[in-house]
Amino acid sequence: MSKYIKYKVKDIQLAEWGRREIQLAEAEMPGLMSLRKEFGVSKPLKGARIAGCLHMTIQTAVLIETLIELGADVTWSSCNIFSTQDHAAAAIAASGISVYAWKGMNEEEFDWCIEQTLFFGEDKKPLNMILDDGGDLTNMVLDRYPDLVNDIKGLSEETTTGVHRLYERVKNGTLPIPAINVNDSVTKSKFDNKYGCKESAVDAIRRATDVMLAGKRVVVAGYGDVGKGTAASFSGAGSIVSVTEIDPICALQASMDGYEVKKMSSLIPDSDIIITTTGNRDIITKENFLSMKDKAIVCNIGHFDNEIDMTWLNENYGHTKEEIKPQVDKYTLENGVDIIVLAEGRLVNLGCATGHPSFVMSNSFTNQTLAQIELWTNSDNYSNEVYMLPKKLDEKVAMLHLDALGVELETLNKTQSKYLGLKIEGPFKPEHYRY
Amino acid sequence: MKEKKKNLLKYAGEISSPVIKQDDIKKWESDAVKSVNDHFAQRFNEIKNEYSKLIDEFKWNDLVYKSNYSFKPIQGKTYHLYQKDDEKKSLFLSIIGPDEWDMLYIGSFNLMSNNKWEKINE
Repeated sequence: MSKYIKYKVKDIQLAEWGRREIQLAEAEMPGLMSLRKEFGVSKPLKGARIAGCLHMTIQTAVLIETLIELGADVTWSSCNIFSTQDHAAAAIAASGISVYAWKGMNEEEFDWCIEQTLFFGEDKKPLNMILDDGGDLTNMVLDRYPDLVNDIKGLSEETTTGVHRLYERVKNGTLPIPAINVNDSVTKSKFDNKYGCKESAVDAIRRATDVMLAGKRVVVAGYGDVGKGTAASFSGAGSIVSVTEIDPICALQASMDGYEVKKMSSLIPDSDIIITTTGNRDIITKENFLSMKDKAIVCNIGHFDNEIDMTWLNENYGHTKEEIKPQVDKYTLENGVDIIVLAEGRLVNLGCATGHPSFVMSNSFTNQTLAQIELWTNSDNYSNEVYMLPKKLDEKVAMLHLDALGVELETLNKTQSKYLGLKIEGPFKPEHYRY
Repeated sequence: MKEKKKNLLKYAGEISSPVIKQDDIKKWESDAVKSVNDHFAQRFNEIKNEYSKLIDEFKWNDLVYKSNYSFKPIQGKTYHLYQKDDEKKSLFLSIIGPDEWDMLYIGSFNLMSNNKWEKINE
């Protein structure tokens, strides 16, 4: 095995800048800061060696330092090659945490970074917890380091794609540790995916292209939580938004929310901006590229870059690729049409903007922290399945964010509580309630 | 036949004349030519070395600038060039050191303040 490397970031001198932004983010992440207050003394994560693989941003830095405050040792890599905020990584490295992440790495470096997080310190103690986003860390451990599995008490997964991979593993009988699906906590997917993208989708397009959005025709591929937030984002900017869907329920939702729902092939020729949000592959294909209008902007806010067939574009028109500025590339097709691709087809809100706002990420990361505490302290209660966090904890996450917004919550009286058959302190909704 | 003037001879013309020692111009000439040739040879070699160093530097810079990297390198920092084990044998620049992983290592380079990549001799 290769030598121990304490950290690897682009420029450690960015640490001070990162620290100042982390302090600012802390004020916007009331959920995580409340957990620090609640568990800072009891340190329920003492003994946990958590390897994390999640976008190395300022908000993630607050998560990392919360896990440490709660007693854990932590190593970190980013789950996307473009998503690292170098000043955030530098601040984390400067505070003595082993982080391996920089913006603009390649696939080989990406794997190397994840691999460094599996072993802790000079004595190379192996990880015993996984915190993942997208499943790349999980896959590396389970497929390439199966000997490490015995020591691992559990994993928590942040996003739809990773959760999908976990359920596949359960189906195939290849999940050897308990997992908590953080993605489907209401306070995660209904907030991070929806309200996060609502803020950051338009932000990314504006920062990357400075294009006027009002009046522009935008196609949002997919109307799940990310699609709903993204459509709302462009709609709020005055764009004319259309949606594509495979799911009749989501299609009906989109339609009744006021969006035109059509096939991609019908929408593409008139579209100024095409953004994919599906979590599926091959959404923008060769045929779609060839029918785009001049200067069409193409980007993805789903997890992987295979939503857009970048392989075809690069193989056939890679020679025409012109970098306008970082993460903004112009391809010229044979018919003379220019296509603007953002963030090379990877997550546009991370590649071209600064990701989700801290407040919404506090929701997601408070879920992550609670999932880690649950798996570390009660692992005997779990078998090798994918679990959701209990409704009570979901409600707790929301509760921890209310004060910061000045929300006044009503309380059930005894009569009302009896009438509804609910405890006064909740949970307030059955598991199957969809919000 | 016209008599040669004695004072033009390169040897004494009278028994009582002082010894005339003629300057060894040939030797001087040969020494001078050798010395000037040495100078030119030395300068030529210097220029040749400089030229070959320049070509070398140009080639390395060309190689580094044409390699794959998606981050903005920082002046004064060291980066490492590797070759991928793929069909294209493409080169890429990394902040990971050659002793930190198992990749086909080409060389290490400092980015100078004039944006020239200076090869670090291992």
